Amino acid sequence: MMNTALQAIATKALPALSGEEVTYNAAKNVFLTMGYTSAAGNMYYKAIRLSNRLMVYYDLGQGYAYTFLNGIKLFCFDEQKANLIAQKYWGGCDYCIFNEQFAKEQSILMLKGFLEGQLKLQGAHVSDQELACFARSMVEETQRKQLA
Amino acid sequence: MATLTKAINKSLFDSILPTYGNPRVHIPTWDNSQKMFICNEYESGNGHRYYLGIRFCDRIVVVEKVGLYHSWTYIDGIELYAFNGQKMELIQKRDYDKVFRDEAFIHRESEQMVKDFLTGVLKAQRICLPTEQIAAQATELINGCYKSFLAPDYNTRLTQILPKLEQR
Repeated sequence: MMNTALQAIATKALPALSGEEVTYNAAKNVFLTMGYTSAAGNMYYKAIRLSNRLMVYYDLGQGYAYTFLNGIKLFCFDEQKANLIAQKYWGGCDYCIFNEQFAKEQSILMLKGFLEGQLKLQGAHVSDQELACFARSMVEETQRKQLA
Repeated sequence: MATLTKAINKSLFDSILPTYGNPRVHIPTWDNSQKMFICNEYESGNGHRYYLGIRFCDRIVVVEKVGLYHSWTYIDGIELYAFNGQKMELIQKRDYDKVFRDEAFIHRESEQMVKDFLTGVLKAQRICLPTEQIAAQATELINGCYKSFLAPDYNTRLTQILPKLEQR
């Protein structure tokens, strides 16, 4: 049931794609958009991982020698719609060469920040350790191979 | 007790980050990296996503109109609101065409808009103030809007304005 739901999300419900199709790269367990190639020959595309609770978008730029991480966006679900819950950008002087571990840790921090904000607005309190643990588990869930 | 706490926390997390198909609790989203609340999200038929980014202090509200188009984030407009009692009044508005969203740009534009507003009001009242003082006031107001909601001394009473902004 999990795989069927994720397949459905992947084919129909991935948000903010501007009409782009995605292909699934099984080796990296990631969905990739076709992207755009600039006049300078740099390619810009998205790499997406998802679970049944969270979608993690990496905005990537493929330069001559390096792959750059230009941004991370996190989406959650509200019934069958997606809500943007966190985003962070790099670029210019603050450039960031893509690294899976760094991107994962940033995603966890961003998700933790989102959760903290939601709890504060509700007047609820959860220990920092439990928040960090939950955020980590949610991001790691997106990295688990759940699709054939 | 630990089990009860765990169950309560699980229920909290499930309402904030539900599984696909389940409703989410209606609470504004605080984006800590951009130092703003995200609301009024909308996805067009072409798959472009639009939303409002809102940041404020106790005197002004800055509303960004943002569009996500393929791999790029555009700023479509900035609006400034001032308070009049418990109401908000639009005091400055700028629209942009094909301008990439950049934090420094938003900050500069917001400051300039506050400066323009203050200069206009002072001129109408025939009051003369040094431009440096107006600039300093504008900087202070805008910097106040970039305070993190997660900071312990953030005035959470201000978040009461969010539902009113969502209605616009």
